[in-house]
Amino acid sequence: VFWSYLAIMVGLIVVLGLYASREAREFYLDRESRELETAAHLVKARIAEPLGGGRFADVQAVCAESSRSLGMRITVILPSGKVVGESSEQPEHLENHRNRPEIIEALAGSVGRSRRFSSTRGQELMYVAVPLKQDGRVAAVIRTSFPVHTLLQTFHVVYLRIGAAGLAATLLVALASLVVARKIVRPLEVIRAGAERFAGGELEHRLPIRGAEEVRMLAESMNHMAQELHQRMQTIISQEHEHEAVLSSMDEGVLAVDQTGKILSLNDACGKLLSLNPEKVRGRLVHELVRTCNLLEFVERTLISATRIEEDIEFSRPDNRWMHAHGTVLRDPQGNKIGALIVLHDITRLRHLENVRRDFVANVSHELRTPITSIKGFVETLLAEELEDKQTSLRFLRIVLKQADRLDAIIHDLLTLSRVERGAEGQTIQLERERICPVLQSAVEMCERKAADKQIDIELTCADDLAATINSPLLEQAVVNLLDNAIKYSSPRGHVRIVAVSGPGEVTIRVEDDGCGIESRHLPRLFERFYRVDKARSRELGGTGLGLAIVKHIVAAHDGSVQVQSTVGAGSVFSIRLPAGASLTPADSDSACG
Amino acid sequence: MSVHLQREIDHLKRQLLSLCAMVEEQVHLAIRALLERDAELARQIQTRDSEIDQREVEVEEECLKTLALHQPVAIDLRFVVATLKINSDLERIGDLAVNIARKAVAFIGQGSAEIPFDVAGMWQKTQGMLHDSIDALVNLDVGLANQVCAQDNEVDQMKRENRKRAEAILLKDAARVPGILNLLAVSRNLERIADHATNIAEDVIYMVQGRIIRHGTGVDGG
Repeated sequence: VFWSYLAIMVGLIVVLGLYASREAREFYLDRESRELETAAHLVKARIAEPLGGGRFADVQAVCAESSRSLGMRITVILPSGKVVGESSEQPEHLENHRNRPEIIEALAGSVGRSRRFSSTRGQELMYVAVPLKQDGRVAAVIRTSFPVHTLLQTFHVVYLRIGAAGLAATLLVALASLVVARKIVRPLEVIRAGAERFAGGELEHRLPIRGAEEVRMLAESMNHMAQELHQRMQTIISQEHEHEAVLSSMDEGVLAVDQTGKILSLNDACGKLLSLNPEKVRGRLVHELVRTCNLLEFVERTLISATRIEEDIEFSRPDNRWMHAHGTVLRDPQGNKIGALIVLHDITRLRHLENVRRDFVANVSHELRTPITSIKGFVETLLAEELEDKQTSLRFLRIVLKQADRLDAIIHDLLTLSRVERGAEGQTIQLERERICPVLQSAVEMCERKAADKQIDIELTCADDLAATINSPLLEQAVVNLLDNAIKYSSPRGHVRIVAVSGPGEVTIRVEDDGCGIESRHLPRLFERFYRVDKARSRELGGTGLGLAIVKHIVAAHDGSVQVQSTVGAGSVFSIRLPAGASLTPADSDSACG
Repeated sequence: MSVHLQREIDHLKRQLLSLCAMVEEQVHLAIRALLERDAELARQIQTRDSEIDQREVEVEEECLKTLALHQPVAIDLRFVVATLKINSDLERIGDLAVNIARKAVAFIGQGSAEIPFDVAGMWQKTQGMLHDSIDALVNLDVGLANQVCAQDNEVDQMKRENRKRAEAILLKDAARVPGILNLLAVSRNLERIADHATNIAEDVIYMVQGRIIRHGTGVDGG
């Protein structure tokens, strides 16, 4: 702005200066020529009388004298062209002046003017010729002249002055335009900086409204624009937050990839399922991050498929899990494919439950069938042999009884299991705060006979005042089941220890044996119904396959948990953890045990 | 670089990573079949190997196509060359997984006695190396690749210990000879997988730095 301003102003000054100097010069020349004319008229008055008398010498004298006083050259010429008076030369030396343009004009009766090179003086002169009329005709011409050169010298001074004034004006103008430009540009500069801040996202920023009217309006419009933008951004951001909240609080994993397989986004649940950090994976290839080829294949199939697809995918690593996956093609508002959306739902538990249920039905039929087959076989034999041999018959009947007992045990256990389960579901199991010691003691008593058969000695350690919220018959059943197992799988003359201790917020009952132990691969399924580590042996020992399942359900009904640790060849430890309340005061405890 | 070449290389990368995921899973399942005595799973692994073979061929053809059509230079060329080599390493690992699965079937058939050594731990280590070497490939992470190379000795050491333990058992109990021999083969196969993982890591270093560190030449700046 400053420079263009300056250029305009300087141009204006130059044009004005040129015009002024031209006008001044014209004016000056004009004035000079009038002066010459006035002088000529003066001389005319003085020479009219001597000229009429033909006294040319006097004419010459007047010319010389006037020239001195007026500072100009004066020439008197007769109509014939003869010079009779000349201030700078002797008239005799001069040639005929008749053809000079100013003389021709004057002879015609008017004032003649001209500017031309004088051969007499050797320089450019300005001439004015005035006719001297006597008796109605031109008697002589008086010509005054002045060197233009001298005039021009005067002009130089004038030019210089105009130039100097122009320069001064230019400086002033420069200064002024600098100030004005500043005044216009400064607010624009502020607006520009503001606009840049808007672009950088600082939409709360407001431009100061000041300066010229136009600038104020611009600033106002820009503020308005920023406000509108801010509002829209806020709407978009809050919508996005809503979407994100919805996505991240979903249980299902959601994964979006673009056409090349790069991750567009994934929610927290998906990050957890695939053990990825949702913040860090955006824009990376899903192949780089997921090492489950089933899922990769599924993603690729979704990308090329036209319809929605679903499938159960097995994740073999790090642990065996099943996901139910839905795949849909992602489209932008114009309907172009931009990628794929995969929704993953963890169905590992469902699958597991399904398996357990299927196994249970198969197992229960098998378990019930074995004794029935045996009973049926022996009874058929007895019928066929018509009870001839009493000895054999008795033996057979004893076997039938044993199998019937077994059947009874299985059904009894199944009923217990279903009762506990139903009770736990319907919250109908009565839990009361009771001391644990008597419960353990009675459990030990129940197992003492079996233990004595194998010469196993049971050691009970329990603080007298230890108490928990329990249902004592059920807890007793659970402990009996654990003790029963411990005795069954211990070698003769082994040791079984039962220890009850109170920990922070819980009571732990541990049943430890030094029997054969359990391989680690069996441990996760040990508490399932009818799960058997060693099928033949367990049945031979009279197990129903339900003992530990019952323990698990009883403990679950107490809001506790049951765990097992085992080392092959060194024995197993089963721990029941029950949530504990405050322990009973010593006054409540009346009997010691241990 | 031309867009086409970039697209080809992305495609190649995806293919290689898919193959890698598949191979990793195969070995994992083979080990699981052994640990859980799941003969059915072990048989499935054997049938799935043909898919890996087919993919290996596809990757190789893709590499050759890229070389012929685009004549890549510098890092792209090294990527294609490294992919060619890693590809065959992965295919070999797939074969080793099948070997393990076979040994698992045999072991299960022999009444599946207790496993006296830490196959799971060894696999964890080996899997970690394989995983890291692929991660190094994906992220062009030379540091990680160097770590993988350093871990190879640990797996070798594990294999030697397993061997010693096996020898001790064999001296005591001749009845366990077939089972222990199968387990030793598994241990050896795992060690071979670790070697292939090391090869992959070396190829990654070659790809990134253009220096070949096999046979110890690169260690002293060769």
